Amino acid sequence: MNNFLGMKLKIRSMIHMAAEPIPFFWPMRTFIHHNPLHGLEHLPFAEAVAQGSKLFHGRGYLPRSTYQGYLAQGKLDTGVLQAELAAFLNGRDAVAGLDVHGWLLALLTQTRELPQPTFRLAEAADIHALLQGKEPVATPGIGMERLTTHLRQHLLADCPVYEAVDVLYGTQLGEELDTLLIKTCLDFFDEGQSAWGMPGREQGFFQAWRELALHNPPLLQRTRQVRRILAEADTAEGIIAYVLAQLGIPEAQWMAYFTRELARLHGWVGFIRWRSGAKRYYWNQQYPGDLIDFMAIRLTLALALLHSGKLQRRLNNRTALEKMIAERPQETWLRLELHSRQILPVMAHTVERTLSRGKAAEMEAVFATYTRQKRHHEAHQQAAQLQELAQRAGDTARLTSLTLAELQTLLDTLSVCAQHEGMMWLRAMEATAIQHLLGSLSLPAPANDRKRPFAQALFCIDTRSERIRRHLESVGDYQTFGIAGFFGVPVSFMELGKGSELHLCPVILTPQNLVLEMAATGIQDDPAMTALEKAVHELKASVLTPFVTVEAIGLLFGFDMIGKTLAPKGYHNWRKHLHGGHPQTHLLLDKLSRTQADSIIRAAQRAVIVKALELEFKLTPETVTDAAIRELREAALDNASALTECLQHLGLGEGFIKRLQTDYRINTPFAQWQLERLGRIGFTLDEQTHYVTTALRAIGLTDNFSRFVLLAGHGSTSANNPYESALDCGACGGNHGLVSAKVLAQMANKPPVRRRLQEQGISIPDDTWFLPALHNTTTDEVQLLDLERVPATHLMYLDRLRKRLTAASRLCAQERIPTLSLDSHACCKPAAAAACAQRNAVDWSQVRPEWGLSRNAWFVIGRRGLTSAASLDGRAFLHSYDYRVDPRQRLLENILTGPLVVGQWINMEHYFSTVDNQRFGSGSKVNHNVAGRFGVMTGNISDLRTGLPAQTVMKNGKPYHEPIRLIALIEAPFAHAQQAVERVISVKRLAKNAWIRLLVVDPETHTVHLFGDGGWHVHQQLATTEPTRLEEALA
Amino acid sequence: MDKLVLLLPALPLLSALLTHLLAGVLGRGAVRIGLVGGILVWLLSAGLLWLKLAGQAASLHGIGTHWGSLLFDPLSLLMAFVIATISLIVRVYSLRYMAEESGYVRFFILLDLMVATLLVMVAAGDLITLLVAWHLIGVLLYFLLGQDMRSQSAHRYGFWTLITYRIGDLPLLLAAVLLFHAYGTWSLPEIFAQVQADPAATTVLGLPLAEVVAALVALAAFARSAQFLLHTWLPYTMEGPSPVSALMHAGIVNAGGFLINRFAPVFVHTSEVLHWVFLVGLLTSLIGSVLMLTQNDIKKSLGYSTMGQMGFMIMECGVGAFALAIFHLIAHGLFKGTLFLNAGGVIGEARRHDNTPKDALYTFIIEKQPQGNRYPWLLMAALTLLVPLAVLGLAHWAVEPAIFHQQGAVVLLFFGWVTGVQLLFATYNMRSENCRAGWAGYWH
Repeated sequence: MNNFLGMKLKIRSMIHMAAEPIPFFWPMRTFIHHNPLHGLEHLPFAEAVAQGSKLFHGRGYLPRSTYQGYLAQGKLDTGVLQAELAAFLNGRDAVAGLDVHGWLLALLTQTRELPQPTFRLAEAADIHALLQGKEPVATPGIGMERLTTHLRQHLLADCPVYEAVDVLYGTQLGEELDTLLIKTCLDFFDEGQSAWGMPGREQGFFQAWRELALHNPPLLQRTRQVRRILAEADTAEGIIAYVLAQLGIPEAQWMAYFTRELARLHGWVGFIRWRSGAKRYYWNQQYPGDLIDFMAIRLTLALALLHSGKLQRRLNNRTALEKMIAERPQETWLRLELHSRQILPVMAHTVERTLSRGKAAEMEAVFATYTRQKRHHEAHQQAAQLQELAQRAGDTARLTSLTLAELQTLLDTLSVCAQHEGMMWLRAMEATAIQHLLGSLSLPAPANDRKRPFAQALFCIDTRSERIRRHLESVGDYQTFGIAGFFGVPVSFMELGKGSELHLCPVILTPQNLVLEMAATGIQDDPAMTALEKAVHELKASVLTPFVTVEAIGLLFGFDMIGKTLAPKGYHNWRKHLHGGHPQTHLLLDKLSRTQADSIIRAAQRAVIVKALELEFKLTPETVTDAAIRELREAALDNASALTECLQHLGLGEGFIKRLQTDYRINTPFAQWQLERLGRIGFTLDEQTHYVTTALRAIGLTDNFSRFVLLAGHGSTSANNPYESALDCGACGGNHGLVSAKVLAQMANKPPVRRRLQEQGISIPDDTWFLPALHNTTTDEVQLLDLERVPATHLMYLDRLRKRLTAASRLCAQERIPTLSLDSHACCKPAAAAACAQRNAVDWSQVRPEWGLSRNAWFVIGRRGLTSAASLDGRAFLHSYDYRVDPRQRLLENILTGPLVVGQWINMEHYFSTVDNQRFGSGSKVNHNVAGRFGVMTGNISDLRTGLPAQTVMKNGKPYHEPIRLIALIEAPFAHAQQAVERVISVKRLAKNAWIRLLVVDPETHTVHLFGDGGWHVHQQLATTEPTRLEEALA
Repeated sequence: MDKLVLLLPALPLLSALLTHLLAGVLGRGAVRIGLVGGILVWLLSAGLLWLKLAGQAASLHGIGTHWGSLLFDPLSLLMAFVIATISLIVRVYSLRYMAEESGYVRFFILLDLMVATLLVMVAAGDLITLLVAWHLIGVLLYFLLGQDMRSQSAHRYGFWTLITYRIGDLPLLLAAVLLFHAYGTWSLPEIFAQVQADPAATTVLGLPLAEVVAALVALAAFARSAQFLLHTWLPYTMEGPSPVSALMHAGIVNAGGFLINRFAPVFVHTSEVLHWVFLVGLLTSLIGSVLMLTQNDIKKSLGYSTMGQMGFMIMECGVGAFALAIFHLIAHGLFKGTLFLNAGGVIGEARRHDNTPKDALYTFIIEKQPQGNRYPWLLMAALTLLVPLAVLGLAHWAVEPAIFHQQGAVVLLFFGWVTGVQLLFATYNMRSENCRAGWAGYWH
């Protein structure tokens, strides 16, 4: 028993550890930008990318040709590239008389990238001979020792057995296994797409699948095998141990084996990993399933597939593989060559024929011929490459006079350089980006005029806010600030009509407070339905009314099809008209006192009793008195069953009291529970003050408040877009930011809060009003909300505010829309651009409604004055920060822990989706198929696609987003910033492992410090920008 | 004036040619030629339909040889108008939707060719034209499904579709040969007139001609409209881009129903074949609807729904209500096309209704909802499927097919409330609020 328990725990922990490199996948209803190599962040960037490429079969850097294109366009600094090459050559052996640096530069900038096979037959001696113009010595192709080692490494180390079989016999076991497993996962984890779900899901993933598998009719051999395997053990862990023993995998290699298995379906594994850890997730509570179940099912199916089919019976475990490699290495290697598509085309037919015949003597002869030919071919190829390179470097003479040792050194240097070239290119691109940023900063930051600005606006740090902030500042006397999109207030929000909680904060936080949305105009039966919807609702609910058919409905859909395609904006407006308006609501965010909670519950109970009487006895509200309702209520709560005269007169029986208690939930325990839940609603006065203070201090807005302080959350609108949540606010967990804005505004406008703020030193004038707004990033409109609360004194200024906001959004659209179109001509007038943007928001055929966060590059933490003169082209995350009000660096730490990490996730998601869109991104949107209502697959059936689609990061087949690591800049005295960074472990680790580039601009000494090579060093001295305004004024 | 029907397929062919030739010069802008062509085709088909409705007589127009003739009759013109409308919509949609795909111009050329072939098929006046167009549709569909040329699975499943179509072409070929053998002409109106004159003609091996030809035509229709046993290709066509799926499910997969309609003059003289057609349709609609309920992704769910609807359409043919089948396929085309074009909106819809039951506190305090009567959804699903089936079945065994054929309009009205409820259920998501959540909440 102990043994079994120990083994179970060991397997569980092994699988959890093996799954760590695979990142979480959140349901796409709340898309979270995430680093695909998040599990490898403990490694330095270069190493992590190398490991990630191997694990996920993806490229970690752009192809050389793209970088060469950037070089031609001037987006890359050649000087830095040369410096990188020099640093690379520093520790390496030189070749006498050969300008290796020049050769490497030619390799990088002038030649095409060619695949670098890891296993070469040709050796330096052969190439040397060819370069001299002689034929290489006819040595045997390859040594047995080397061959066997290569085979063992390729086929045995952590390679799953079925993969080895596939690559040796050309079968499709791996694909078949993946398809079967994906189908099982789809059936189990479905969240309401199928009306008829998999039976027995409540028992858990493995048990439900096991039940079905055992009841499948045994028509296929695979099914029979599955039943046989499942009979061996009861639990998932038992099955795993059994199958691994059958496959002959030694325990020491289990974890590597698990990682390889899990990485094959990394979308599903990421999702299951997240889901099994989300304890409050409804579907996980109903139908639990974790990675151990997944692995058990996968291994069972793998073993079953290996044992079906007559070919595989010979070779279905590791012992058999080892035997094959030991006894027949030549045949094994020929098979490997043939089915992994590396075979020499001229010999392919011969090899295939020999393998199918299977005669040993013939095999040896063909092996010898093949290896000789391949070696010959490789040598010729490499010699030709060297010669081309020499020609580009202008050094052909020296090439022929190289000795063997020198040639070996040269070849080694070239191949190692090819491995490191990605990092070199990347650093060169980043250097240019850093220079660009530093060149556009203005130091010293111009002092704020003491004049009161017309309005101040707080926008999210999102890169799209940079544009609107710039334009808003240009159209009037506005001051803008950047703050995380949830305004520092994590709330759990329950929307009117939806009835479930939504977390509006970054995923790394958990909200502790609940905010309810209540209808301002009293509770109606069906809150948000118009007459039309009510009719349809009735239709849906009853099957016996004469219903409309596909003939009639079909033709009605014709309206949709034609309207949405030919005139999307007009049709959308017309439909909106039909649906009627949204009812006025307000947010309940103050803590309820005991009496308030009691009276709320009492009112709700009375309303329910009235409805119950109406439903069951058809008693209209007029015939029932208040006293009767009170009697009924008390009877139900006190568990009394005696009825008074008047109730008996109405004809109610004891059964009704019982029903009130059970069906209608009017009983004491439930009332208690409700009281507890109601206690969770809202924020105390202390909490409210705390959040407002933190928000204001974090951005450095502690005095000189203007009449309006706009809190602009952001969100996007798009139609027919599975990635619509990716365009929303990441700081709000992939939702719109308007609720957070409303919450903070409501808090900041309350007089008690203002009084407390006064006591703490932030003096807000009485005529300052905090106004929530929503910045729609697709149309660039800024919509003001909660206008009915604005005090009368401010109403006359609203018009001016609105007009300026419209102007700013049009200018913003004018700047942004031309980048979206693929043609060179584009709408240039602001009105036309705004119309174009509005069309994008409702057009169902628009596959790219906006670029979103593509082209993000910088994260600036500092005062607005630093960047106000810069046009950062919508590429910068801007967080306002004033070091002068933050002596103990607490606020800076907050910014580093939260927003900076979110920014890094976004940046890395875009980086990897750009460098390899097929593996790390999700491919083209046109082939996407929404599965289970939470994710997408490509085409008919495939793994869950993670990452961003091609339309978001590519333009016309070429990358639009420039993949570089996030360049974070802190404007603060060096010691101040350094201390803050040291104290925030996550950021310190990111900087140390070079996942972000960290800069500090010291506003007092005007020096720029860069973190690199494990430490800080001074990067450069910034020139002070002359205060020209003063001079012009004086002149 | 009605000779203009010859221009109908010529226009898209011309625009395809022009797009191909000018692609080098205009680049991506060349697709606007196809757009203009599409608008012209639509205008022409609308004009011709208007002409027919205004009372112009049906006629046959040819280019002077045995083959290559087009019919100017109600069926051709109605179908041509529908095809022109749907393909215009798909074209306008693809202008933006396919903008980032490599092979953008090629896609539009293929669309043009497909429209031309479809128009030829629906207006075909003789057997050779019909066969050629029938065959070419399969070929063009293979290319459209394989739009992403680097995808192995797209190629594999496109090939599967092609093979099934080839198998389905053989019966039609055989039927054409038999008809030619019996009547010595390829022209469809002549053949139908002769069948009308002598319904009891016999053919090879003494078998009754009408029955054999009808059976072969029905078989070809089954392959094309994904009836049971020949339906495996349909769910796998999701590898192609969404506009192709929309066009396919709205315009190409219902070619079976159209074919049976075209050969209606032969079918009315049979007795056994219609029974079999009805049974196959019944089986398909049952299986398709049930399978649709178990699918986990939106496109396969829509695919099986189409299979179920095609079953209904074939059932309507089996009952003898040929005109109703045409009406059904037009309405279904618009319906399914819209759903496919909007297939990406499932996530947006899931954000608004995520199928989790409402919080108990919320329903009590905010909505003040008491529990009420709830209909279990499985029962409702069964009802919505069985009721129309029962009515159709009753109609089939109780009423003679000839009556349906003559009293088309009456039949339309009568069946107006029967077919398609299952579709209503499936797509209006009866599980929201009242049903599943409430039912689950009941046990909460």
